[in-house]
Amino acid sequence: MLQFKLVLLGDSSVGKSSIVHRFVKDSFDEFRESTIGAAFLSQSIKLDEDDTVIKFEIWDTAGQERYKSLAPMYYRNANAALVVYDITASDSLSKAQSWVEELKNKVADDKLVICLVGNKLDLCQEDSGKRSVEISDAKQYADEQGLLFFEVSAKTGEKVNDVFKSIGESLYSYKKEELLSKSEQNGTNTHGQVDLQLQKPATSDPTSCCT
Amino acid sequence: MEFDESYIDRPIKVKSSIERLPNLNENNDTLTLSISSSSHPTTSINLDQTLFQSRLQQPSQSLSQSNSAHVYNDIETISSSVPSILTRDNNFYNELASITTSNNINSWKRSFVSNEIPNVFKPFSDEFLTTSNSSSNNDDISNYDKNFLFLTSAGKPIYSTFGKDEQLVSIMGLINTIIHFFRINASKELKTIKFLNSNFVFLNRSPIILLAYSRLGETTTELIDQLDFLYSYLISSISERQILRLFDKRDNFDLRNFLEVSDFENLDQICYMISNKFYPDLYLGSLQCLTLKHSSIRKKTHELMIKNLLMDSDLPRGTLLYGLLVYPENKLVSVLRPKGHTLHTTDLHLLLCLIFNRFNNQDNNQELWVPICFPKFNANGFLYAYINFLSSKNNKPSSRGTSSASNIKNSNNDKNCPALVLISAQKDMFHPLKVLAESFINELTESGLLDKITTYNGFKMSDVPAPFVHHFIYKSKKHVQYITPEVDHNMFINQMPNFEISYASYELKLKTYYQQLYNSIMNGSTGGPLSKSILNFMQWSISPESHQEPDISEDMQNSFLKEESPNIMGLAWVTPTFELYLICNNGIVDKDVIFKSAKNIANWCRKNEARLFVTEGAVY
Repeated sequence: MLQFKLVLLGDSSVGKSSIVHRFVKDSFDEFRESTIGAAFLSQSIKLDEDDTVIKFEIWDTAGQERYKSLAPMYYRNANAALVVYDITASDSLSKAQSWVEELKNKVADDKLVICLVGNKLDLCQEDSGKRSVEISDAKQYADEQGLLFFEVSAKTGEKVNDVFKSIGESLYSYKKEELLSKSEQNGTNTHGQVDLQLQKPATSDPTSCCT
Repeated sequence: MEFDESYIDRPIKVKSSIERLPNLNENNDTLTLSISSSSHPTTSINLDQTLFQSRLQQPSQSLSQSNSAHVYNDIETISSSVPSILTRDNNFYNELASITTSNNINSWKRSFVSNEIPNVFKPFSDEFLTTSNSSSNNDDISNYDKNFLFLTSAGKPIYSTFGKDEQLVSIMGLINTIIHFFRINASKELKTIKFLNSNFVFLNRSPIILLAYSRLGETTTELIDQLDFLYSYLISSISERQILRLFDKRDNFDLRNFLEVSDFENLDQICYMISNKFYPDLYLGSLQCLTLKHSSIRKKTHELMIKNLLMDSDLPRGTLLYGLLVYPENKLVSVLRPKGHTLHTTDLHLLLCLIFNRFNNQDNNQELWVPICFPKFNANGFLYAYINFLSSKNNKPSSRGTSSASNIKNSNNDKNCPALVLISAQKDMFHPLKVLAESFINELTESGLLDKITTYNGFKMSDVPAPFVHHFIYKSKKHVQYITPEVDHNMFINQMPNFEISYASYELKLKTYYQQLYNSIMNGSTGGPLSKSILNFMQWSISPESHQEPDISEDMQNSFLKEESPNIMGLAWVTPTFELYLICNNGIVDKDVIFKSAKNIANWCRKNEARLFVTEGAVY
């Protein structure tokens, strides 16, 4: 099993916690209260490729401005970042873009996988007038910056798992490259083995294993 | 549990109707009908009658076996004014009539006190009982009997529990003018304005001014304490240094731009709690402690805490400042603390409010890392709290879907998740604390201690040898903790359609009795108790002229229903080591008997000290 650290960033009330809870518990709460501080959760998924199991250790951060100074603590060692905006609020996209900037400037790891996610797709499906961020604009930005991109709905669950699967696949491909180059250097075949020392120790939380 | 005969021999004024009790009990339908058809409030057939009757029938049987004889339906009462207490007419809420019916008698095992007490206070509107935030549309500020408002020294509105924005701006302007008028013309701080039965109380914490407004009969001291607590919340969220810095630059800074949605939500919840809930923590200045079945459970929990802390060699020294195991409804289970250090109760109140008002609905497979400023510890800096909700294996929350149905917060029993809190001064210590928490929680779960903590639902009034007492609060001054018997939630859950209102009105009533009892021994000007040792009885009753005497010629059953008028005795007993506040069953007025019960309670609490209180904690 591979473990990766993932951090959620984005403006307040764009639905970061709702996306995480759809992914981790497959549930949705219409009246979720805003996050205070940060919440730590974990969830595992299985990739099609090589039946690899990936465990995400997720930091769901508060989007509020006040906690902004704490953010580096959460993204510093992250392997992946989910930058979320609300497709019905154009301000939230510019906030998301500034998060992307910050990540690119502050995180030294060039293998950091960043995924741009537009949430609340369900609202626009009900009433297309609600959309204020065009999918093409966001997609274009994501392509320029080399980000993964999805529009999802935490409420209906649409595409939420795809986001994590796609992040998992990217991380896994980086990991494979890393291992291959390492084995080439060492001249020994370590194929199929994973250096767990690189990772944080596994949590022993019985509720966090894959389902 | 056998009773002292002297209690039983007391003369009972409705003796003649006691013989009717079994009949009443059999004719539940008739009885229920007469209750629901009544729009009048209720009182209880209380303990002494019930007890007396069961003793009459089976003199040799112990009370614990005689469930069937316990009749404590709430029946009829009285609406009138209460001269000594509040002067409004009692237009009692109908819901009370349906609070207790006979179908829940058996669910309350070994209960030989009445589950209800009559209300002698001004009734509260349903809206007051259920509204926990200011989102309702009909939001005219004059509709509310109690309100909290914050504004800046420059007169800008910050927060109000109720009221429309447009209204608030002008009201706050007015308040600001009045305050400044006093400051300029009398060079004095305006503290309180009393007008008829309204009380306006001001607290100046420049650059923030707080105002409480109440028509509910609270004293100025009480309202100031509440305002101080709300101000403490603001500090806990943004710290005093930050507040001063913001206003240092600009006097007319609009703090609302800096506060977050979560702050307003939290303030709403705290205001609701201190206005509506039974929350003596604040004025008692102490924490409620969770009663455990055996003192060994707490001892072993503390041993486990220490053991895991010492075993964890990776944890840098000084990382952990304080550890707590806490239980829903703001109860303390265990404490892990450095030698010679304790946290101030206000700080702990804030922490517990945050945990159980705020995070209780959250899924318990996530761990939280929350920055919090403890005003009494250091009003200028932040600490970081690792919070983990523990679900014991046998006690997993049953429903997991969308939780809109979880509004009924007190119908807990499947939400008995205690929370482990580890506090550090360093913001990047989450992972080391997580490791410590996990090893402790694993051992706590495997040893079965967690189950023992979660499955025991506190002690009940019936566990204490004080048969004429309806409810009490015992505060141990040494431990700065208090205990109080569990209220039977089942009694209210059975009233499902009106569950929330029934429970809320009971809680509010209990709260009002205790507040008046407490205020009776407080020195209004200093805010402290009148003396180091106090024994004070307090009686609430409905004046006879407003209470219609039953017509003797009426049907016997009806006459029984109307026999008794509310006549409640309370006792406040303060000694250098403890404070005891108790409320007796309706009709008990013999002071000797009450004091004897009080002594029994005090003895019982002393005897059970280790399982009732966190006596030492795990000290490292």
